[in-house]
Amino acid sequence: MRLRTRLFRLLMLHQGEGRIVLFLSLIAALTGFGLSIGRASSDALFFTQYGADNLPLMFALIALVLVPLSLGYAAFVDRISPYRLFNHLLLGFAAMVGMAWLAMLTVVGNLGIALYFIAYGVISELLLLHFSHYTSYFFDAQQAKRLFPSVMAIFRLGAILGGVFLGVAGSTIAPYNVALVWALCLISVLGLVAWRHRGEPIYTPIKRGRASTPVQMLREGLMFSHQSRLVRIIALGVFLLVLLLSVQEYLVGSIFAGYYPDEHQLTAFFGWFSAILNTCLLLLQLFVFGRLLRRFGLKTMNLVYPVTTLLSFGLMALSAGYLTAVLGRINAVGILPGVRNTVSGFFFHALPGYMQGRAHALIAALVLPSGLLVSALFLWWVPKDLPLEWVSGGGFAVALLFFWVKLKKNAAYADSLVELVSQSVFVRDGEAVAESGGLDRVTACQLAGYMRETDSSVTMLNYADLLVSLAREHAGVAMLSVYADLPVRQQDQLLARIARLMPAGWESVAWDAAQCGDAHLAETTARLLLAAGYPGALAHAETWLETGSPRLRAAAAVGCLHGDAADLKPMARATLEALLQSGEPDAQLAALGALAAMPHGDLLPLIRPMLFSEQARMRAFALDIWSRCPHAGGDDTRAIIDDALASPSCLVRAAAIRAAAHLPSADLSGLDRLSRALRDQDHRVRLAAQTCASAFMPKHADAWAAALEHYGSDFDLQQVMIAALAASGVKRKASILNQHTAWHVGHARKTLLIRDCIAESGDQDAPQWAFLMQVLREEARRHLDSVLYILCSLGQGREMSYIRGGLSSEDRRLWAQTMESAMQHKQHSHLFYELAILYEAERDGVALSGVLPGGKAALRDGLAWCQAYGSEWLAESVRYSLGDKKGAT
Amino acid sequence: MSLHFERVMLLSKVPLFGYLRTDQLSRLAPLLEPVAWPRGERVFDQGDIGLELYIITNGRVGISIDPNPKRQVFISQLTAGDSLGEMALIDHERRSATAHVLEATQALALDNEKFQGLLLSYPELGIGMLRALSQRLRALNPILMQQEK
Repeated sequence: MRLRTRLFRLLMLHQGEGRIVLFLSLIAALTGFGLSIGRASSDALFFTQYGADNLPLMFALIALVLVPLSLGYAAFVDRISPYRLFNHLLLGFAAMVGMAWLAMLTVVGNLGIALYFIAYGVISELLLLHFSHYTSYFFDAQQAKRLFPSVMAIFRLGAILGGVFLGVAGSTIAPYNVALVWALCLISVLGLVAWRHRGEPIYTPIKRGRASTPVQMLREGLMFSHQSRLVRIIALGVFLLVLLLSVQEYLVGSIFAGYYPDEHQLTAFFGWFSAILNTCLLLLQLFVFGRLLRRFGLKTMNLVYPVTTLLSFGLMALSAGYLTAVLGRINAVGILPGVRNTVSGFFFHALPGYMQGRAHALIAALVLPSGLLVSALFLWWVPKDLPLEWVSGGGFAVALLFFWVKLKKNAAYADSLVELVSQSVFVRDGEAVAESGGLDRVTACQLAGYMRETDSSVTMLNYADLLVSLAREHAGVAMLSVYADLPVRQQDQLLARIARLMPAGWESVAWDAAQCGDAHLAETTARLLLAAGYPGALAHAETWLETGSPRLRAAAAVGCLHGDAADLKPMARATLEALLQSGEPDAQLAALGALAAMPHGDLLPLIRPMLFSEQARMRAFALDIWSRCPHAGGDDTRAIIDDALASPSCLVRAAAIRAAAHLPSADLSGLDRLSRALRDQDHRVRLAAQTCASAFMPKHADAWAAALEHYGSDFDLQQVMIAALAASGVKRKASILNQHTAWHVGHARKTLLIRDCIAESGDQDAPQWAFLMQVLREEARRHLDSVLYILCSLGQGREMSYIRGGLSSEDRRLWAQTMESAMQHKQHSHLFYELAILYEAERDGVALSGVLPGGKAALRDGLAWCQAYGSEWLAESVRYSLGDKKGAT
Repeated sequence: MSLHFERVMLLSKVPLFGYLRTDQLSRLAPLLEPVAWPRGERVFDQGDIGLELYIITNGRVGISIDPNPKRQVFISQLTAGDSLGEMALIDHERRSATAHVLEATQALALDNEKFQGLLLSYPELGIGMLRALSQRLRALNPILMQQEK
């Protein structure tokens, strides 16, 4: 069991990945073995029988064969499932190699060898191309980055065995019989793939476009290359690569053919060369490459092959001898498949799924053959007596261009990933309107027009709030233009907003609308118009103050108290006093309701006793009025608020938190109250707390830093605080928030370590411990989400919003693409490297390396840490798991 | 074992609440009222006003769309962890089916007002609900096909 765990850790395998990696490894080993013996034998036969001078003709022929075959590949790559296409390809390739073997048996040294050389040229391109496409069918971007190097290492192992096989048998077995062994390898791979996918559906629908012919498929590929800069750069890179490889093969082949005139000797040399080189590469790929990739990142590793190519051409330009030929061969046979091919596959993950197959097809059907044809023309054009150093100099110049293209590819990769994630994630785009400078009057009126079309009061008020925030100077006029067309209830709800904005002529519009006879609208209109001193309303004031309806009486009285008509004020005050002292709940509520809309300090002595009323609505109104009056503060303030916050009525609790927001608070007790309200059972209390949260926030940088840490595990409050600090004018806010990310990362790590400790203790099967592990996982996730929220709040633009959205996705592939994108972030790439490890631990249960909080202390200490520093819920869950029933409940 | 935690653990297995964290479930748990019916009773009849949704904790309930509430021809049977009655709370229409208690059943009830509040507070609940409803629709497909034949 331990050996298995160690092996999994060594190979960076996560749970559930073992079988698929084993299967892909088998395929890779056989493919590597076949390609290794195919290359060595075809090169040896060709160089000894034809010589390097005939290479240009071969390149041209390979290009000609590659075009129709690649077009055929392009036609099917996105139409049928990758495994089905793999089967067809393997069958075709086995037939090609078999036919070449038969040809060599009958016409050895002539047509058969050329056929075999061409077959290798075509098969090596398409087989490797489709192998990486087939592998990406099983892995997402993060898995591929972790596991693909291991699979490619097994490919290398196969190549080593192939090299050893040729080294040992090269001098005894006829080189053309190696083709038969290769054909058998291809058949074996075919059998394995067919067995793995038995019973699966054959066809997959076309993912995009309706291309029915290969040419149309190619056109779609070209269309995508117009859309995607990354596709264009990849295509240019491949073109240059083919050119460089062809020139290098010509140079190396010319030198080796001079040293080894006998085909058996050359086959054996290539065999041993391949075995030794591949052994080195295997060790590199298996134990170093994956870690290097994670440590230095894709973009750095992408530059390794261009640098070695520059070096090999540079050295050959100085002296084209046996040693530099060996180095050139190492670059072409070792670094190319070992580093470049492994890395290049990842870049396709930055393309949308519908584009990947077409991009592969475009490269195979157009770019590769074009590169080969240009190489052939170049080598034909080169005079045969030209020193090889001169040819190498030309290669060096192309290698410089290749290096530059790779730099561009790195930049395009990061952009393409962000674009890809942004296509898959929805983020709020409201700030875009605000950034554009708000709305003009015409647009504001258009927006107000939507208020007419909705039946929902909530939607209508949302439009109104949107207008106020985006076009404050036009909002009043815009709302007034639709006011008369709205249903009475919505008019009632909108009137207070219009009154606050006071657009010209609002009083007469409101007055006219209020004549419809609706009691509620009449009350609101009377209150607001009396407060505004509208003559029509003032003429009715005395009638209203004496009317039978307590609500209209109260509304008119409050309006008069807030208005400028001094002669009406005594009567209005007397009316309200009478209502409040009447002892009749309806009358008292009418007075309180009107005063809550427009509080007045003169009546506070009558309101105070109602702060402890047993009637919830009355108490809630009283709290609202009391807290908004200037003389509200007193010795009993805290007691009043805390008592109301503990009320069983959600109305009172919501009013209490609103009231607390209006009162000064010099310590953390205000945040304590806000924290409780944000976690209230009732959504209305939570909503009230969110609405007035800004009033509770610290005022100075030091207080902010202390409060953020103090309430670090109170996640609901954290979100509110982070947003408030980011929006505040505190000078050190960026550094405070950046420092706070480290706090959350540390806590996430500790939480996950404690979860690992429970898993290792063997108790995880007991329901309470399994439950605690789930709570720990959620706690860690919330810490990680807090980090992302901080980064979003720091004004990192929409990119960080996309990242946050993508990382919270349940879709593994989207998550992996997002993480890959995040790791390219200019400012926070190191942080995301750390987060990636924690996310893997959180999502996949990968064990973290580290020490439990409290050093070597046992699980008990970890659980004590949870109770001291974890969220309230985690602490409760720990108590429950430990069997502390009282504490838990 | 604490009743509260037991309830949270139970809710964490209910598909409707599959997208909620345990701390959110902990806030939700006290809002649920335990209810029980003996075998043979009906939870609600087709055409009733829908005031609550139920999460079955124990027992078995058969769902019938026959207009005659006494006829027991079931289109589906619900067991522990399943929810019923949420449709009426979403579309504010009357009950679309009759729920027969096939085995003595215990459940947790959530009333309309609290449910609407939860939906506002936890949009994830909506995703869980979509998933539960689409699973129910899928389960109905073969029955509809059989009826067409």
